[in-house]
Amino acid sequence: MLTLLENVLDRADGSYITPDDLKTLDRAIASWQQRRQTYDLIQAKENSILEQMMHQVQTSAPDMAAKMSPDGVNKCNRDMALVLRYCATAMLLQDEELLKDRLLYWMQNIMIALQKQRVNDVLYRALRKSVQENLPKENADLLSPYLEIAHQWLSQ
Amino acid sequence: MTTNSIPSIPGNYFSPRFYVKSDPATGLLSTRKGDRLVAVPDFLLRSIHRALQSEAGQAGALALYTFGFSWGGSFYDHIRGEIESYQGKTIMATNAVEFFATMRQLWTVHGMGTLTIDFSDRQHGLLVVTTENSILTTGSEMGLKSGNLPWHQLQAGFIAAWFSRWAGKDIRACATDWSVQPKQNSDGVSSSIQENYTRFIVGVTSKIQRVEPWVKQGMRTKEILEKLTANP
Repeated sequence: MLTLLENVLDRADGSYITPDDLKTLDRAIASWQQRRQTYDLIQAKENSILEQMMHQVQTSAPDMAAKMSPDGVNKCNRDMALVLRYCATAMLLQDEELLKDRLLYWMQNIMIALQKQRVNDVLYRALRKSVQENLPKENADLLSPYLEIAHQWLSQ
Repeated sequence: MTTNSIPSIPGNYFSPRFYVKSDPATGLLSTRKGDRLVAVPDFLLRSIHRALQSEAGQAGALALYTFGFSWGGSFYDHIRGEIESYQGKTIMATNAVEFFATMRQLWTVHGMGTLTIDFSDRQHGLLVVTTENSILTTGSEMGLKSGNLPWHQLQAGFIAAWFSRWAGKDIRACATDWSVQPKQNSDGVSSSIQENYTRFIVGVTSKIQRVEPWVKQGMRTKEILEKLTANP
């Protein structure tokens, strides 16, 4: 919504906001309550989402899970929590540009340098699955597009 | 409702959209932490180069290196404070990959273009640093007035100081490749921002000092690296 508002303001410079832009804003605001509820839910469930993700990785990629040091597991948990939090905020504000600007451009550089793309592919698949299992479908569906963007950016 | 076991996690402090703040009431630009920022106009850098060229001729290049070194060193000290207070740990405790990703971001956010570091020759103690669209190349064409090489010393000094501070060693940098200078109008101002790059070899001073005469003889990055790594 930050990016949307900025764009609407740019377009409305010296004039009134166009009817099309006003409609876009109406639509954005209409889903606020549901997004807000989803946001609270993600926050409340963060621990179990991350725990279940780790279990998921242990079953889907046992070799990879076995190779992770305790320090690696901590780091991974931290990174996943960071991504989940940014995705939640981007979902709340309906702003994928915010997610890219604040997190993904930077994090992608790190992942490429560490050659973690393939590991991330497994991790983010597990995270997405865990979110589907931990949240009611309508809430998970709101968050999914943002997790998908993060998954894509960090695994290639 | 914070039931999360993981406390607040530091991320990308230098995100360009959020790092630079402007306050129309006071007319100031600042960082998100409140430190003052100032835009360095092209004209200033070009004037500095022009003045040095007319006052000192080729010796201007030495002055530019020293100027860049001092600027880069202060820049590092300042940025280090910001990173450390945000991350809650020292730069030395930050892993190198994360530090370089942050370095790339902070280069961008200060309008110094993009930065790529090639670590392929690190076992020989050499880094190849490439900057694209850097503000620090502004005015470099002034070197062609009294010699046959553009002046990349301002940026070389800047990069050298950055790595010297970070590594705690006496590091030097030398430009060993660059794009052809953009066309200039009569005011010496390029008509549009054009893609440009400069590549530097970075390493301990004793090694890099050998590189400088080679560049004058017309050698470029690949050849110089072969020579340095074959005969360390």
